[in-house]
Formats: sequence, structure tokens, C-alpha cells
Amino acid sequence: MKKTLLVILLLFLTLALFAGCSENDRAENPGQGGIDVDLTAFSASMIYATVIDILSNPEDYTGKTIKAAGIYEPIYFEGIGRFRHSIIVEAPGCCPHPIEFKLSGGAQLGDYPSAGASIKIEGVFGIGEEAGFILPYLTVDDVLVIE
Amino acid sequence: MIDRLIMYFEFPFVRYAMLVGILIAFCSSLLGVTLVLKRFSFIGNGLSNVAFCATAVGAAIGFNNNILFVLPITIVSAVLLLCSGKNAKIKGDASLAMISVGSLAIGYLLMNVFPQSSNLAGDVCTTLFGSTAILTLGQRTWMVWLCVGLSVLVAVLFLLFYHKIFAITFDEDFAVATGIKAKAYNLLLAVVVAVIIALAMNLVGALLVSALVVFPALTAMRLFKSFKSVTICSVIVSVVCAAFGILVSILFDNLPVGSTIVAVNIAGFGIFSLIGVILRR
Repeated sequence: MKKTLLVILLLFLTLALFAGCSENDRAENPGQGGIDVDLTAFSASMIYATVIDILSNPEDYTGKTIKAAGIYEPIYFEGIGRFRHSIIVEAPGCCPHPIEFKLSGGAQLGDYPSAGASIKIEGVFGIGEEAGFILPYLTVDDVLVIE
Repeated sequence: MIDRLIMYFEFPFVRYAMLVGILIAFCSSLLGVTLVLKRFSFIGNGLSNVAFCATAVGAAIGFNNNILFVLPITIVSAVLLLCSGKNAKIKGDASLAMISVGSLAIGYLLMNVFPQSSNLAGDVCTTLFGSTAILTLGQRTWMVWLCVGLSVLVAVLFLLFYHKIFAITFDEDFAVATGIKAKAYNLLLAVVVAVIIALAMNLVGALLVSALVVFPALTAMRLFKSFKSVTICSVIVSVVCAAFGILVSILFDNLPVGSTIVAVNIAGFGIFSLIGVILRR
């Protein structure tokens, strides 16, 4: 009995070492078509978890290409006194989290789609700072509005 | 599908979820057999509601490391419940029911009075049903190592005191008569159960913790009869169900981790019951 449980415990500890190794290997291995993280190919739970991970550990994703689909929503952020153009990616009912994106090339407000539109974007992830706030965002060339 | 899984496992938070899920399943099933046989099957539910309430209190007073606040409160409640003895004024299931629903109500009340985000429904949903909380351990790696440490501690304590736990499980009075300090071991049991509950809340949420304690033990009992064989089978069933549940929930849409693990446990119970009937055990 004791031997069996000890063997099981040792197996788990080996698993712990496996889980703890190579922290950022996902962010270092680009996927197909130069996209590092393709959220459109993920299940809802994985989308939620990945978005949380991106927003919690932005430095791990800086410079990586991320593809996402979801709802466009301009969200006013009082701290910096402007709207953050955000995509709310599909996630389990209780837990959506928005990611800010910026159109490259000095885009105007009119270049963004209307609020609530279903969109697909692909861009490079970066971290900005405004009024003392660290603000992660995606720089995208184009916003594809899905009918 | 295999390619997709391999891709998912390149993310550290998926590996953490699998590791923590398996460790929690391992620990909860170790003690599950004892709790079921001592007729304390529902204690997991009561204590997890206490942990839910403690989470709400911790958030309200601004505790960042919530688990360090939740753990002692859950341990105290477990000690009060498991060690109250036969002479307590409010006995057995009545005290458990009182603490259980009382904590749930106060916890929900505090979450409404001191909301931590604009998404109150989401916060409550995550705390009660686990939702996808275990998949967000990437931002709380200290929690992963705390879980590893506590799991090792639980396993070592179980192995060290296996014979004593066996004795107080089946006949506490006889155990006392043979010189075993049953009160001390009940206290130890209460502390270990509280630790497991506080950890398991992250996996399946407060309302589903009981399933992790009860189902593996009852499933193993369909086919095995001795304490030793039931415990070993229970551990294997629990770990397999947790791992399978996590894999299924990350592969397919709209499958929250906690309830998927419990559903797999229910399926396991059904399969073992069927085999038990066929083998006429």
C-alpha cells in the first residue's frame, strides 16, 4: 500500500517538474502562417485562459502575432481620458475580457467599425504606457468585419 | 485533435492546470474513502461553502493572497465540525447544514456589498462552479507550488498514519480502547480535509467539491471491498477522471472544467456499478 502510493506520488512530482519547465515555450514557437497565437482556432475555455494569460503576462507575448475574432467595443477608460478600441473575444458566458487594438498608420475614429460589430483582427502585440498605466494592445493593419 | 492538445500543452497555464487538477484529485480521493465510511460525505460541501464565505470576506478586506486567508478559516471550521463529538448541542448534520447554508448566504451577501469587479455574476459563477479558474494559474504560479507542497504533505501524513486512520475510520471507540488518540487523529483528519477543500475549490468550485471527495470512493466501492484496495482504486479513478475531464473541457466548447470533471466522475460511477452488477459483487 505504502509503496504503491509512494510510486504514485513520485509520478506526480515528476509531472510537477514537467509542468514547471520551459515557461515561455509557446510564445517562442511561432505557429502556422507566422501567427504565434491563433485564438480563432481555440475552444472557449482556452480562449478565456489565453486572454487572461496575455493580459497578466504581457511581456511574454510582446512582439508576437495574435489573431482573434469577436465583438468590437470601444471602452472609455477614465484613467487615460479616451476610448480603448477593444475586441471582446468569445469566452464562457461569465468571463469575457477585452483586448485593445490600434489601427496602424494614424487611423481616425471613423476607420473603426461600429460598436457591436463582429470582427476578425490579426496584429502584433505590444505594451504601451499612458498616464502611468501599463496598457497592452495589438497593432493591426486591417479590421475585417464579419457579416 | 492530438495536434490541438499538443499545441495547448505548450502553454504553461495548461500544464499547471493539469498538474494541480491531478494533485487535487489524488489528495481528495485519499481522504474520500475515510470520509464516506465515517458518514461525513457531505462535509466537503459544508467546508467549501465556508471557504466561499472566507473568499468573499478576504476580498472585502483586501487580502491579495486569498488562499492564505481562506485556509485557516476552513481549517477552524473543519475542526469544529469533525471534532465536536457526540456531546455537542447542535449535532451531526444539523451543524453541518447550518454552517453550509449560513456561509453561502453570508458569502454571497458580502460579494454583493463589496463587489470586486463590475462582473459580479462572473465572480460568483467562478467561485461557486470553478468555471475556468484553474486555467488561469499562469498568473498565480505560487499557487501551483503551494498545491504541490500541500499535496506532498497530505500524502506523507496519510502514509505515516495509515493504520491509525484505518482504525478510527471503522471503529473509533475500539481505536480509543486500544490506546489510539482518536481525538488527535480526528483533528489531523479535519486539518487535512480543510486543506484539500480549500485547494479543490480552484478546480471544481465551491459547490462541486463534494463530488471529488465522494464519487471516487463510491466508485471504487462498487468493485472492491477492502480499505486498501478501495483507497488505491479510488486514487486511480479520481486522477483519471480529473485528467480526462480537464482534457475534454479544453478541447470542446462550452464545457466548464469543474462540472466536466464531475460529469466524468458520474460516468465512472455508472460504469463501475454496471461492472459490479455483471460480476455480481
